[in-house]
Amino acid sequence: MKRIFAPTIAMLLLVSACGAGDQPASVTTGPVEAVTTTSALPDETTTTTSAPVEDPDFPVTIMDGMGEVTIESRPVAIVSLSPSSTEILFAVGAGDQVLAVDSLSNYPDTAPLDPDLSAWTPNIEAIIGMNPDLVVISGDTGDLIAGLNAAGIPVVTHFAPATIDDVYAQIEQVGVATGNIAGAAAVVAQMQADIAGIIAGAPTFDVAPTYYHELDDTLYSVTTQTFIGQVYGLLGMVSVADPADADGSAYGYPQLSAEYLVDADPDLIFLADTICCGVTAESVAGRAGWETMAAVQNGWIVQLNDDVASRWGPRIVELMRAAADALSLVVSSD
Amino acid sequence: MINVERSRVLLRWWIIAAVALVGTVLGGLSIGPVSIGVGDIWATVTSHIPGAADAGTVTQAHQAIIWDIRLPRVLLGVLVGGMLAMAGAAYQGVFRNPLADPYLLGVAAGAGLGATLAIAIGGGGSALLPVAAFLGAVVAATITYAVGAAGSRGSTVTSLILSGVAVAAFLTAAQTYVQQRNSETLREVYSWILGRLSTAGWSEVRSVLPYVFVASAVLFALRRMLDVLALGDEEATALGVPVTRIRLIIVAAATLGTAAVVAVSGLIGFVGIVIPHLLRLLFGASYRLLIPLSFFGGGAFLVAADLFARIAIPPAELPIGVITAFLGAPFFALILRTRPGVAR
Amino acid sequence: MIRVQDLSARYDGLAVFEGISLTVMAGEWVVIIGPNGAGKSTLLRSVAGLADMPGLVTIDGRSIKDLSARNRAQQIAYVPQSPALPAGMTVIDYVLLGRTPYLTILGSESKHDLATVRNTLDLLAVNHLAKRGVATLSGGEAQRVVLARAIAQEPQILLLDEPTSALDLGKQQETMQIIDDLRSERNLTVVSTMHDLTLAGQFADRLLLLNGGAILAEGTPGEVLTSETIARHYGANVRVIQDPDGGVIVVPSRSTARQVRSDQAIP
Repeated sequence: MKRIFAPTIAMLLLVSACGAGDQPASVTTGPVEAVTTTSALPDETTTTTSAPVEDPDFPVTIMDGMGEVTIESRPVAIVSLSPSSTEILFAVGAGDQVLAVDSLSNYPDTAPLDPDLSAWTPNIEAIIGMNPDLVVISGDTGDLIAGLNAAGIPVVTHFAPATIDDVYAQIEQVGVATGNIAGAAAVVAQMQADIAGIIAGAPTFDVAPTYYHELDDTLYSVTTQTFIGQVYGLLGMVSVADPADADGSAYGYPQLSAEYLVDADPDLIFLADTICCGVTAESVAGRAGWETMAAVQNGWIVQLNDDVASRWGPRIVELMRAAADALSLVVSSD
Repeated sequence: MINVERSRVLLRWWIIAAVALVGTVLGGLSIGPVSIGVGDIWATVTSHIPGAADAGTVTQAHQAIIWDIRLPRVLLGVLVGGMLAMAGAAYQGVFRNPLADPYLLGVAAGAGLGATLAIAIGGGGSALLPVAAFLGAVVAATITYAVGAAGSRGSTVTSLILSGVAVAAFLTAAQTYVQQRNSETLREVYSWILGRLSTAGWSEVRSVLPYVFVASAVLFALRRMLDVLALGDEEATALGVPVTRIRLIIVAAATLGTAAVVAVSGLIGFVGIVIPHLLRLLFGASYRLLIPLSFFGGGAFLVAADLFARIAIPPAELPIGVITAFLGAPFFALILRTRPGVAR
Repeated sequence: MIRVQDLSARYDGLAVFEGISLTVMAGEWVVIIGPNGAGKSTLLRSVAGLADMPGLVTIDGRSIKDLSARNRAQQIAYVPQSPALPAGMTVIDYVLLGRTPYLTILGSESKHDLATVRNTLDLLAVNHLAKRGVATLSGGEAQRVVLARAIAQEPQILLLDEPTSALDLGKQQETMQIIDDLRSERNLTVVSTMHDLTLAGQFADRLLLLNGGAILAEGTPGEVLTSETIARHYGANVRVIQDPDGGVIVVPSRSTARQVRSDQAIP
């Protein structure tokens, strides 16, 4: 069923010629040839191993999304119920400290994915039964935090971030919480360098190009005020969804309509629903009325990997790279 | 004298119904999140008549909006709303039950299960989706009919209704199970269940049209039979009507039409129950009139509801099933309160 | 002419009657009497072709099973004890339903059909009720409208199950008279079931007493309605008096001389 296919498809989309660990987002364009990009994710750094008892980094207290959390000793049996946090854990070098990750945490593929571990409907007893010493979540469902704390298990809650700086802060916090401070710092530094490099190499323009970032096939999108919107914003792009949520009542994720989009005629279309909803550049071109849009006619439609486009972690660099590549299509043809 | 009076009454209602339908269609074409002038609309529509001049000054985007987005959507609204209301009236007549709606014989549950399986296998935009929903609806209704007719008393009205309840419960449980095992499909499935006309294009209109045409033609032809069935199985048989066969044909036609529109637009509720009742309140319970007028009334209602769905929180859209329920549920409660002996 | 041969009926596995035979001549009015549960309604329904029971029912020599349902409906009009009066249906639409056997399934009413209905409404003097909802009529009015629907079928045979049981005395007489008038005008054959023995006796050509699964008495009202017969089958104390106008009158009596009614009540 789909659960087996999804990671497979994700991996097929992500395979590149440059060896393990390099996972580009695929870019589909019209007249221009397909470009594969690479991102240089840091190798897993070795952390300073120390006996749990004498670790100078522990105990440690952090302020996560829910408040203060104290972690007594270096965790070696971490359970992650958040795909983004899973990516961060492995990036900072805490991979060998991870016991299990939830059914949707399909990246990296070395993560110990447990298909019965659900982030939507977590079974507290089952989690406690795994004997974790740290649980990382992105939202409290079913009194998870209270239940785990009662069993003496610390819980770190990292909600979806609002800004890119928030992403850096989460990565650093994961480093502190798992005893990989140096690793986390290296990841952040690399990301900042990569992003700066992408911005520097991105084309300039007089008129800000517009884009439509599609979250699902019911036409939900993002505004420039969201975290994803900021990634595009750093390159100077503007979301056509901004006027649709001018008062903020949709919290940055308004639903658009076909009429609105045909009228708005964005320069670029980014599809973040290729996996969940099977949307492709062809299917978009086939939508009633969309054939009049410049982006459709010129083939300026980018098929993103759902996960890369929606998770926060080191891979936002890939998202930015895909956006910059697409940008150079539009700007070069002006 | 009776003849003349009757035809005058009929004519009056046909005119009213036609006006209502045309009015809502025009409204649906003219209003939307993007404002386009009436002149442009007229120019665009007429430019598609073979041999007419093209719509020179209207932008391509606006032409696309009118012809490729709004017009098929409005037409689909007419077909879906009309079919659901007509099927609802037919079901109410066949089952002599004012609570009957087109989803009675497990049709909704079957379509829901089919859609959920299609979404789980192929994702929300899957081409499998309408086919699976259609098949699910038809298979569910067939099972219901077979089970209901297998009892010792044959396919009585009560046995069919009870069978429908059982089949629907079973299929709904199966659907819930599939959803649980594929939790990432939840949002897609719920969005489909609430119903939408927003994905309408000419291909959807084309795929639905033959089924709706055949189904409504059959129901229209048999509308008098529904009046006879209102007397009960025994008296209808005494009047020479082959009750079981007629009932099967009517149920089959109504189910086929319902399955086709559900496959394309999801489970839009309340149209099938509320419109026939509303029309009954207005001019009485004869199915001779109720069946055809339900098509007009249902079409006009759904187009109006879809219009509201589009302009309430632009450019986002309210799910149309929410609007029909919002309007329909209080009305339904009103019927139950004020009319204890509601027409059968 | 209706002939029933060897008709049996079962209801939920229990035999209601077995091996019944009877004959009704054209133009006769036969009333079937008998205590509750004797199977009068079932017998009537079998003659109407609505109950598929072993046995033979023929009309003018042809078995009703050989007739199509339409044909049967054109010859026999059946009115059940509690006819359905759908809410919201007007009288004229209701009576028009009586023309159903003459329309094809897809057809609609012709001018002739509408004329027939108009005539029938006249005949039963319910023209003034034409636009009323059938469910809003009084008992007497409803009874006439139901009869109108049956007459609109232009049948040869009328089968009426308890046509007067819900009516007051005046309406009962009126209804029976209307039926009798229609019968002579159109040479109808009428078979009805009745509770009221006197009324039955006043209008019937022949009475059939159905009880214990068989026809136990058959003949003119004078022959069948005797106080012994009634006491034996109904468990009722009555006195039977000759009516100076003809026919018999059955009078319930509370004579204390007759004792132990309950013994004799076992049919």
